Amino acid sequence: MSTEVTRGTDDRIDQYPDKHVTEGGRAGEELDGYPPVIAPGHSFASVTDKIASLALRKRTPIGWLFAFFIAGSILQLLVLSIAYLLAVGVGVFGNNQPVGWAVPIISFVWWIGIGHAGTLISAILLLFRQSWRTSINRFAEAMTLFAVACAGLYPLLHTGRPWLAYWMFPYPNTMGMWPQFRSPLIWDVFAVSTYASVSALFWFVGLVPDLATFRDKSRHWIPRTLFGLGALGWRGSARHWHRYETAYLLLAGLSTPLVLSVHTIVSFDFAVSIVPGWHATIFPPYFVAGAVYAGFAMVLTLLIPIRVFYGLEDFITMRHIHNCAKVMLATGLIVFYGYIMEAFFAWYSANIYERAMMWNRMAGSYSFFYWSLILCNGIVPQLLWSKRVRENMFALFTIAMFVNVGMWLERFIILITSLYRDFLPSSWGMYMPTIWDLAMFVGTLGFFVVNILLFIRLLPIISIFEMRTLLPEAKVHPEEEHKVIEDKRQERGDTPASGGLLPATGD
Amino acid sequence: MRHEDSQTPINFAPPFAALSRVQSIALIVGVIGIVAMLALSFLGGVFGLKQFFHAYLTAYIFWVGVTLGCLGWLMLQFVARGAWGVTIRRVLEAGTKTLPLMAILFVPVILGLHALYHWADHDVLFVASGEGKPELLQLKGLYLDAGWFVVRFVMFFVIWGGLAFFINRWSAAQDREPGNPYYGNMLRNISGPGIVFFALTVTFASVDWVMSLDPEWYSTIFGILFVGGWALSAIAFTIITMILLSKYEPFNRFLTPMHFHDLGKLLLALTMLWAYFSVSQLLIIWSGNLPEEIPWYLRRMRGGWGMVSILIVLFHFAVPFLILLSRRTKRDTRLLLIVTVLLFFMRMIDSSWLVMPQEFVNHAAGRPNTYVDFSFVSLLTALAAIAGIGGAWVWFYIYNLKKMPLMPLGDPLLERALTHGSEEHH
Repeated sequence: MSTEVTRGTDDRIDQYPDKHVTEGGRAGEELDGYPPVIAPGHSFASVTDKIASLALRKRTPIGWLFAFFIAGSILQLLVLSIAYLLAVGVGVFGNNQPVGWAVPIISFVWWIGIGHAGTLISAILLLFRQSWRTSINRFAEAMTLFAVACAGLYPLLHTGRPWLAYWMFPYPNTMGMWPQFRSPLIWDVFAVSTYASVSALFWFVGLVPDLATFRDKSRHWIPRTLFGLGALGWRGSARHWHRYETAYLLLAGLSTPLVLSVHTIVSFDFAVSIVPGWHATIFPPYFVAGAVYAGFAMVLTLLIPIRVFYGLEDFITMRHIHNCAKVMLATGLIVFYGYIMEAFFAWYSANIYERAMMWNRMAGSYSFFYWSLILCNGIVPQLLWSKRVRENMFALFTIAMFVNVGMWLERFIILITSLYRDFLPSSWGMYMPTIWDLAMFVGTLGFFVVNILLFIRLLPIISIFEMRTLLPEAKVHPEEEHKVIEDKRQERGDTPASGGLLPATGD
Repeated sequence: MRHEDSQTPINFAPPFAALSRVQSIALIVGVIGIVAMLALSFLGGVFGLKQFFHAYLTAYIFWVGVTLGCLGWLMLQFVARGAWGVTIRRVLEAGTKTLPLMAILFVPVILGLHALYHWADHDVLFVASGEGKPELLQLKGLYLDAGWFVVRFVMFFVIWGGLAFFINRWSAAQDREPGNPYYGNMLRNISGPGIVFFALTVTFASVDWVMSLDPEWYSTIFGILFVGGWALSAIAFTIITMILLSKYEPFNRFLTPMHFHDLGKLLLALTMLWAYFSVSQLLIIWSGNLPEEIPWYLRRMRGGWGMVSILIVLFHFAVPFLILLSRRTKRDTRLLLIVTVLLFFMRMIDSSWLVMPQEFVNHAAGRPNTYVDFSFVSLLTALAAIAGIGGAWVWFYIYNLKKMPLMPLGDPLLERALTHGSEEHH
């Protein structure tokens, strides 16, 4: 079959006059009819001014103060419950035999999971050259840090004697005691601390050029000095940029395994035991998918209101919202697949304990929570198949809230329903969280939101310099691009082309 | 033609002569494979008919894995939409068109049901042995039943066949009417839900065909392990095809190192993913050490199969992983071809490792559920069977590949795929 060439290379470029604005380099974007990753009409200056003005302003918005007041009050609940816990002891939690792991561990896993969206967006999407990550990566990374901070509180406090928490680390000591290296719990100590430090480093390195911008734009000497210290003497020379890009890419490569490793090890905490409901080989990928699912739900929960409140629709466009919704749908389906596999294999195993565990989940004392979980995580997110739902902010926000709740319920079901009916009926018992369990969890929500608010108020929540690379001015001009194409072709030994490679299309 | 040019237009027709040569080679290899498989099973084998059917099943799940992997990738690229997908679309489509052949080739598995699957012997199911295991089997008689096994097989192929049929039909229609967005939309619309059905059917097929070889054993990750493993087989096969075709028109006209870089990344990602799933399963079962789970691994971790396990760790993961990390490997077609062929071969070894050790388990005799040591002949029989079925598969695959232009001429992303190498960033 032979085809004819009808159009020249010049036509090929002219065909996409707005190619560089919609650029992401990723194919298929215009075809879907989705908006670009940055609204048209912006320049270097307007991007910088808009993002910098969110933090470098004299007046704090009333709405921000109001939110800070509420979140700050809730934070006091955390302070109060930690004080009470330390004064009285871990007996204030509802955990007891047979349910020895409960709300503190549930909340730990919930928070750690939420952090994963940040790492996925900043590291994996960078390696895959997904330009849509650019306007939300900074925010998602900050979210990761704060979520990990919330998560880190729990294992610490759950030990009951947080001042002895350093016992978890392997160090030569007079007691001659070492941690049990075969236990995933000790792997968790390494995994989570690595995760926290690498995420913080990645976030900070990403901030450096923008901190320099803030330093240069600050009028008062105090912020100028503080931003200057953070900017590490950044002057934006070509050499700085060259080294910066290399460092950032390397950090992205190092962060990528963390997306998988942290939640894999969290899942091992359960799966390496032989408790029915915990001992399931699907746990590692299913936990990782669940973590990304929860993380994207939280990203949407935060971005949808912030985007409207600060008028960031030009930077966080429908493209971002759509993509987040799609990632949520995909990971949600993997999680739902996990539920189906758990149920099917509990039956297929023909193991009486496995079958009894699954039956107890579905029809036992906590069945209401199991079916709520299926509704929140399995059924409701199926609405995301519809493009109209993905475009409706209110619907999307509601679905994200369902998933936030559902992911908490998922961990509740895994922990409680696997433990409350033990192998021996004589050791069966119900679990009920105490007021302090809930107070501490709600308190960490306050802690999280306070951190997010401070971040919005003080730092650039969108990466200014990366946004500028999305602008048409940052691109090579078509003539130059044409030349690059020609050079490549000559390298390959082709004759210099004036004709394109396209086959005849109808005309 | 509007422009004066010295460049001749690209001819998108497949290189018929070269492909026909490969077809002849495939037929010869196939015949040799079948003869070798029969000879090894019945002359050199320990178990005769049992060995024959286990080797056949190994070859079947290997090649059906390539077919289905192609279907999975095809749907994924319609959903994800990238230049990499457009370039390999026709190669994947030709892979999915081997489904009718794979449906016919399943008949011997049904004929060998009793030689393969212990649960197919109903009298064994209901006769209590000293260990109480048949009682366990009774509990899942509802699923492990010859009738339902066949019904599920039909359901799987109706779903896969339906997906492949419509995708190929709309794809051909899109070639005829390039400007019409209807077919592109339909292809995307069927692919999203298609992937969901695909994951579920592959999972249950893996339970039916492989997991139930040991009717007591179960592992919840098994389905995902197959989705990942088959995706790896298919992308490896696709890369091999693309590299071999890249010498000929049309691919020699526009394929750049960039195209192979993209495919190499996918190969690397799948290699890591497969290893991740495998380690998850091993670590959890090993640490649990439960009597109903660990025998499956014990059979594979000791003696001769233990050596095969080490080979798998080294050459299915460690070596290709380290080589593929390098950017140079992914862009140099010669190096990439070597690594990909190695991985493709290790997929065959992995399929044998999954199926063949079950041959030695003698449930019916009431003996303990233990392992007999590895027989090298049984591994060879499996590889001969893979060559045998592979001959037919490759012949039919090329037969389908020759029918269509090698690029989807109606795909709106065609020009991006053609000029992919020239927009390089990194």
